[in-house]
Amino acid sequence: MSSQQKPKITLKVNGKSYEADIDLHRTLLEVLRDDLDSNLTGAKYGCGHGECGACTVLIDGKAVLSCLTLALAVNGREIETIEGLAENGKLHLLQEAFNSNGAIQCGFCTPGFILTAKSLLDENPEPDEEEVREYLKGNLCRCTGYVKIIEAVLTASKG
Amino acid sequence: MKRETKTIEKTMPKLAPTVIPVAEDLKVVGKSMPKIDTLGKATGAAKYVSDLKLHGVIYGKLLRSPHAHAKIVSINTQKAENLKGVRAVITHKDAPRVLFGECGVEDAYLLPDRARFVGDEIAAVVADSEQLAEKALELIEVKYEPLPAVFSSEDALNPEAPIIPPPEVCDSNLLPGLTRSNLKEWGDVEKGFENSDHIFEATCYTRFIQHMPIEPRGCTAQWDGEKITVFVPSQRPFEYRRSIAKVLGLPENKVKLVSPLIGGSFGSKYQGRYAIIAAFLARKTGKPVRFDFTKEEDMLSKMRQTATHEVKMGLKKDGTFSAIDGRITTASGGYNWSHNSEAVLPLNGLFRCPNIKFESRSLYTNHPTTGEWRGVNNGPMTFAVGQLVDRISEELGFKNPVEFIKKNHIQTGDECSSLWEREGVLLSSCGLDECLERGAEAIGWDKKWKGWKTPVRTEGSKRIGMGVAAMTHHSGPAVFSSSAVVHLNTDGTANFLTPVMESGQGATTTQAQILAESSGVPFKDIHVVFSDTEVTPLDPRGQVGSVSAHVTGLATKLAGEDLRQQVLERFADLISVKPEALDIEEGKIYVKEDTEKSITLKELMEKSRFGLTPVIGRGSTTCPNWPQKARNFGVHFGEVEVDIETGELKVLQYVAAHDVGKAINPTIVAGQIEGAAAMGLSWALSEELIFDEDGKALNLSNQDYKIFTAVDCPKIIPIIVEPGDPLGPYGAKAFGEAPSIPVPACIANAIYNAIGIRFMELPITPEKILKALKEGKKEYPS
Repeated sequence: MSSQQKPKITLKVNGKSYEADIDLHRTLLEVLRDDLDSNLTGAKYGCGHGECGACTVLIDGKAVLSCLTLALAVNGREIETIEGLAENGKLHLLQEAFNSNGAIQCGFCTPGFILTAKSLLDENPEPDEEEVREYLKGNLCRCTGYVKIIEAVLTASKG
Repeated sequence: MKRETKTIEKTMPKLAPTVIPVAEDLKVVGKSMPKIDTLGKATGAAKYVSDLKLHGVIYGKLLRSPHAHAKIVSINTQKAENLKGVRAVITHKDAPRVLFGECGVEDAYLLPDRARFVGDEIAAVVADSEQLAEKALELIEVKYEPLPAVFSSEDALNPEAPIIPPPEVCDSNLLPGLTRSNLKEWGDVEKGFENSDHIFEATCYTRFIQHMPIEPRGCTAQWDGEKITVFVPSQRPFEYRRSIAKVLGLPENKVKLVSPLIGGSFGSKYQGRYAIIAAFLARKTGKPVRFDFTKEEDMLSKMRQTATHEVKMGLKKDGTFSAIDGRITTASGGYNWSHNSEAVLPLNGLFRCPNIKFESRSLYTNHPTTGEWRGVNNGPMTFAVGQLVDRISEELGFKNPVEFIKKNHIQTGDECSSLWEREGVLLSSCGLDECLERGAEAIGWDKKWKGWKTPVRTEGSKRIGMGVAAMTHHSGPAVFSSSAVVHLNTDGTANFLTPVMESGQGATTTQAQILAESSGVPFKDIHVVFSDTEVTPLDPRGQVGSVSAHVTGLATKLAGEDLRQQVLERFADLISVKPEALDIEEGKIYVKEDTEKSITLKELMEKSRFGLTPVIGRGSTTCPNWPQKARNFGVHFGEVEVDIETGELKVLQYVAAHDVGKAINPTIVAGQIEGAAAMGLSWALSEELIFDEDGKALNLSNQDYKIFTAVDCPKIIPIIVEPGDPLGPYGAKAFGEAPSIPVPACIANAIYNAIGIRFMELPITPEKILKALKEGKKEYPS
């Protein structure tokens, strides 16, 4: 393809289909936030190097760092972002737990944490504290000291 | 440099302490009400500055100096300007020659003609896309004349050193001023040392560190022909507005600064060139201008100084203080935007001592801008004081360090003036005893403490040790002020206009709870409008220095009481009773003696739509600072495990007990304790911004500047101590910085208990622990 061409990308995000003409080099994070005709700003730019986890989205239920994912590499795939977690206005257990126990302070890391935790609970529905900490070590938080985040994940795991 | 020396008698209490008991019948204050900002954060609906998208926006990028100190001999932007899609390029030639800055020092121009650090911003481009703007940066041709540079406070003090600040700011690298380079004495320190039976000294070193909020900074500015609007996360919206107005030559009422939800700040997001440049370019081009910083740029924007702390303490035979002398010397970067004044607090605000001297020296160096990091320079000085006090406790034969703190700490009613307050001001309340007692119990101090030079236990190559450290900090810096306005709508709901910003510390929820309590408007019916300088009332200094629960809270309480009085009077008038006969609760006004006679706020305001004055509550206040001053206090207990074969350290248990006066929202308070303590642990054990010999920062990333992750942080146990306070709203003190302050001292003391070595510099890494063990000395560095 010539550098002037803008290939078309098709993504299904939170169950809805989107199409856009994008630059070759766009990351999934950039496409979700800026290129689709949507309001999907839940995934955040925290570092651009896959080191903080704030850009986490789910692909096939697995946590993926969207700032390191070339958008065209996931052309046609189904993506789940934080905006898609609640169903018909009913919060996911994790969202409910985070929201009600003080696990959210500035909130910038929250979407990434919730989605990574969802990926954990889908794999391992009853983790212990150590397993939760280990799974979440790729998500950085500067506000909470992780105390109430761990508690929220454990609470959600108990249903 | 002319130094200020003031001498006063440091008095012991003359008045009996008068602590007003905290009201027990509170309905909203004291409860963990659901936070008003977190639902949107959990669903992704919450918008931060980078999520705001203005139509027609153009993108800005900044050109940064590769030299630590260099004159810009020439700068040619023609090629950049000619690139298709580039809207404007500006340099110092275009910038108004108006100084601005932060924390009382105005030492920056919009764009400089001389770079003061590697990464200093020297030109700006706006273009139709980020890629084009970056391409345009490469086309700017700059001829630099590198100048000699200084990278330490010692070198900066040298009379031969190049002078870094512009001559119109200061003619020396040593910047004078109350909160920069200053000298103050209480009593007579020389006599105090003469009368001492024991004298101890220590020198400690703390390094450049970064705040590392997860959200990098950014902004969007637009010009409508008359007014500038800037969306920028800032803890100091009104101060930033003032700088923008000043540099652009606009009146303050033609600058609207909105601070959206902030993704973490901790002192990093105050001001900065970028929003002023964005405003300037928005006015120049007529298009909305957006800047997004990369993580690297964000880390370069602000850091806490590298500092040397020299402390000398004189004690009498009975183990009480006779004299304390402390000096802080900081390498304060190319833009000196940080106070040194908070370093006085552990020296003269924590222990009873009749003779105290504090000296501060703040030096310009060719490093990035330095500014306030949580706790400012209190934490670094507490690292020195907390360890020295631990050593003194041992050498004077105290059973354990807790006993020393208990015997010597400041008490309610003691004189407690620091640099900010009038001499003679008395401490309003002090909860240190309860912090000591409950914290010691929580960690199991009595069971675990085996004595000096004896680890708590030994398991193979692992040594487990325990330590303690105390702290004090502002509850509202003395010169701060704030305000609040609340409108009642025709359906009885309220619009609450508050200057606080929301960076996760829960200020909006806290203020709403205070308003609900004081006004009688139900918490759920309060809509909070925050940090918009066009709409929310004035708060000149911002939410810094641990202030909003205490000072803004007082203004909010006044506004609530004002509103309450108006609605009571209105109903009293309607039913011909005296207002004193009425009360309001949860939006219902009723006659105290006959509760059936009542009206809801909704009904009352519906009636008020025709011919009655709108109900507006207002409050405006300064920080109470005479004849009493509030301070917050805390004690930390830590248990660490040091592996003497690998140098690795694990924090096994960590207890943080804090006197917060009264917890307005206990969940928020616990979260602040946990988060700030975790930040302190990360600082103590992992963090340092590293520069090479040319002044270039080497570790501008999460990978290379590691903050604690979920596996590094222990489960921190917060203990909320509520002695009440006569000055704060419902007895509350502000305390957001406090739990980060005693952590390094506490951990260092625990390490000493484990392996018998005192670490005199931060961070304390496994490499240093191993090196220290090999050297076999009592102190590291020796």
